[in-house]
Amino acid sequence: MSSETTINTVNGESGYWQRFWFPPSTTFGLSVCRILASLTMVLFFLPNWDKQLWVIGREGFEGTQALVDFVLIFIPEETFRSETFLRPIYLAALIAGWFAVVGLFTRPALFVLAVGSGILQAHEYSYGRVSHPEGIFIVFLLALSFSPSNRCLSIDSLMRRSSKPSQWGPDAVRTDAVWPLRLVQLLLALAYLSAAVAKLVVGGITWMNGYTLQTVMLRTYANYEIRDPAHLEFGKALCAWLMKQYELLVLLSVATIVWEALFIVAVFSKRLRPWFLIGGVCLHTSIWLAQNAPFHEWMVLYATFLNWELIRAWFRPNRFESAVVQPAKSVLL
Amino acid sequence: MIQAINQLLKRFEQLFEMPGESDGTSYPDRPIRVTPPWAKWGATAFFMACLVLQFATFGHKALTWPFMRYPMFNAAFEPPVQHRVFIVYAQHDGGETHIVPEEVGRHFWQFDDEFAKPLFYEEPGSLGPLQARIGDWLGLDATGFRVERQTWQLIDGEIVVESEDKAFVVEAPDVE
Repeated sequence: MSSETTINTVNGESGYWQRFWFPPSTTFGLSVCRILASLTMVLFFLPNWDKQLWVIGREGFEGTQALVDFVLIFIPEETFRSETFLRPIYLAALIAGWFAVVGLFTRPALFVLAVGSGILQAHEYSYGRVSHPEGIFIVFLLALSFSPSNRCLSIDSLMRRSSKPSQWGPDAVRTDAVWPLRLVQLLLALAYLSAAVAKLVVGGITWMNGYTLQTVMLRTYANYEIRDPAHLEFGKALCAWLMKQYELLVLLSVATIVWEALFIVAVFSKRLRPWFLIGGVCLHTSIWLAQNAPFHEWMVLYATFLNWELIRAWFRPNRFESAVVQPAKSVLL
Repeated sequence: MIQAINQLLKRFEQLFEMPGESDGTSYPDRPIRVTPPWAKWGATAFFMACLVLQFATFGHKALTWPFMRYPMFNAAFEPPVQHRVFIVYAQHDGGETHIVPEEVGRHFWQFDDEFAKPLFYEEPGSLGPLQARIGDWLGLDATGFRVERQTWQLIDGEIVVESEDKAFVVEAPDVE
């Protein structure tokens, strides 16, 4: 069923939907995102094994996570909440993570990494304490496992490139190398919109009065002092300084709501996208430092917005000129 | 000068351009592998399911990970700018251990609502669950608790802290 075609055939499948989800593209950007996501996952974001060990056998297991409930259909709770069951999952996810980084058996490895880390994270969140940053990240890993993220920057690619150069390697062009990136962008936009709606529904316009952020920062500062004295000195100092800048906090409150509600613009408008992303980096850095709410996973996901083909071209200008960017007359869709 | 700035901005915008968005990006000299219809349908089903599930979280409160609402920091506050912190210490074997909420599987606000506040305000039956929790999670056999309520306030740009202590003794079970 697979086919290679010329540009004219692709032109036949026109429309915004096609251009948005399935435009012709190399797999270079997707592969870079695969490496970034799987590398940061195995180095930083994979659920901590000591924490898994620590919660196993504790009281208070609620089993309210859909993923855990699904697993519990097939195995008893005692088996699930045991080192014998969870350790192989942890080791499999860890090993699969490194396979995904180097690109060996890439797609199965990504699948094992996503499902394994998903089960471990859901287990950790089955004791009443649930957090937010990992969800979209793991969905992205799963999406990568269903996409051609193995087609370049991988050992898989090195092994197969010589026999099928038009399908493997950084210059091969396909129409299924963009949808995972677009999916993550939209999931981020929905998450930010959810945050904005929650603030407006629960806090209302009052949320932007400046006192709200002052109170949140005072709370964070108190927690730094009492419960996390080893926290970054810079973060504490920023928190202490910022909470006293009332007018600035009013502005930041308004900017936060507007930015979160309108982030979806970054998905659809290429002109405004850079400014929304710069705003996002500033927002996440400041809430990490001043409110102790780290969303590092989402910062990594911002890589899906970058034009990796262009970045690649900066390092290989001649090749880019001749092969990738052509005048507007040869428009695709 | 303006032209140079425009050029620079354009280059900067190009750095964030997605495939399919540029009038200039095409691959006229290369074969394009078009996604077969079944694969396209499969991908569409997957990403639409993810988007619908994420969108559905707007309407319910359950935290069904990984698709969930993002209600962080949604409460509004009015003056005075203040925050109450409850610090719980477990007394045992002549020593005292500061109970860190995360070490007993709770966010600090969950810990405050579930354990610290009921104990500080002397609600009946509040001692037992805390004792059981720290016994189970930290392996501590507490003989008593001390709860310190700190009130942090921002007054005229200065942070002011007041505190109040209460101690609670765990009564030994009656032995008949």
